Amino acid sequence: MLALIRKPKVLFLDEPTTGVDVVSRKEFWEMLKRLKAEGITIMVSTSYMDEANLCDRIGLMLDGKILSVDSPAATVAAYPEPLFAIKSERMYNLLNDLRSLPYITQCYTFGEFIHIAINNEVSPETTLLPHLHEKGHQHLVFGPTQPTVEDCFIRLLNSTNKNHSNDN
Amino acid sequence: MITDEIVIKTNQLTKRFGDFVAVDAISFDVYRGEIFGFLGANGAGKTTAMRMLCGLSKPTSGQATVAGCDVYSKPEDIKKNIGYMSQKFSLYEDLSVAENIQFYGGIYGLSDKAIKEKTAELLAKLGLEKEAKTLVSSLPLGWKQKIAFSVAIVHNPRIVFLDEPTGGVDPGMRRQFWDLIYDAADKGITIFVTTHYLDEAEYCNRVSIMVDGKIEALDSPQALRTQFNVPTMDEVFYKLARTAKRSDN
Repeated sequence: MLALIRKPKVLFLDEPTTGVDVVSRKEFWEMLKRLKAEGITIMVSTSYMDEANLCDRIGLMLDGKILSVDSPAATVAAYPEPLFAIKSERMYNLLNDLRSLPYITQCYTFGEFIHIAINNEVSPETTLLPHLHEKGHQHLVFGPTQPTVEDCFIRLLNSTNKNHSNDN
Repeated sequence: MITDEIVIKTNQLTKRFGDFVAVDAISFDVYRGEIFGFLGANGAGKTTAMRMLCGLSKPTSGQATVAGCDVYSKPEDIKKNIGYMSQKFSLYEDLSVAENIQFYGGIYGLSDKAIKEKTAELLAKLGLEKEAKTLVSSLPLGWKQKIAFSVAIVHNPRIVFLDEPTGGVDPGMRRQFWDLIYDAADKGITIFVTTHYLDEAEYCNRVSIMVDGKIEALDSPQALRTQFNVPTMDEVFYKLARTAKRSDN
């Protein structure tokens, strides 16, 4: 609130909600919405991707470079390959098994699921799922899922890291 | 890898500061190898509860044993059996990566030979061989937190307490951090962790949610979602925590 004493044109907020719980974060973002309605421009950094969704436009920055700037909807729409969500009873084993497969291009935990992107030439139904059954995974839940801003960010991070390792 | 051996047991554990009941008669068990998520709004009493379990603060009433040691009579024995890291303090910024590992190895009572081996092992595991002599202050937060976690378990403790270990860490690094947690749990180290990123609550075997000093819910993430009839842990938390009367702001 102190940042507003002298009604500014632009408000810079550097990770204002780090270490803040869900309820207080919601209230904080309600306040930002009201300030925006008053015509104040807000530039905010965050590591919570649900907050990125609430911005008009988001820039993803890594190693001093801006990797993309766009609206959340356009950022998500630009995700280049089909994304799937999968879970089983033994998530840590599933994560390791998926990571060892060459045709899985992205693989990371995402809440109760693991998100994976699969090489377009491979059919998950005839290749991936039989393989996982063979590995002893039971009660698999598998299906396509919509990418989120968080998926886009992780993908950019991973592809940039891969380029890094090529440099070395 | 969860076992049925209990490593943390609390019964009606309470801490009062004057008239204020920071922790109000909490009772729960945590099992060896379990990843236990200890959630709650800011000011709910999580840190006070954790301080009691770490042997740093004497309870007002109730019972608790941690790694088989009583919190009233054996707080020093508890400290030998646990690791601890927090978002706010973890490493010495003006020591290098290798010096931090050596320092904590010494604090936790490892031999010189073990410290040397552990230092090499950790640097290799984290892919930080080239950064061994780099001052911690110049590293990104995500790297610091991974080193801090590795240091907190350098003495192979029975339990590690993590107080918001991923606060302010980006989504990619948070997942790398959780890889380290899974790996430690798989080796039988019990993980007791707080977080405000509710996707991380899903990575826990069981989760408790504290509201105004009391534990209002405790179960697996799936069971809690079913119990509250909502699709995400975010909404479970919101339903419970919005009724809170107090906050630390």
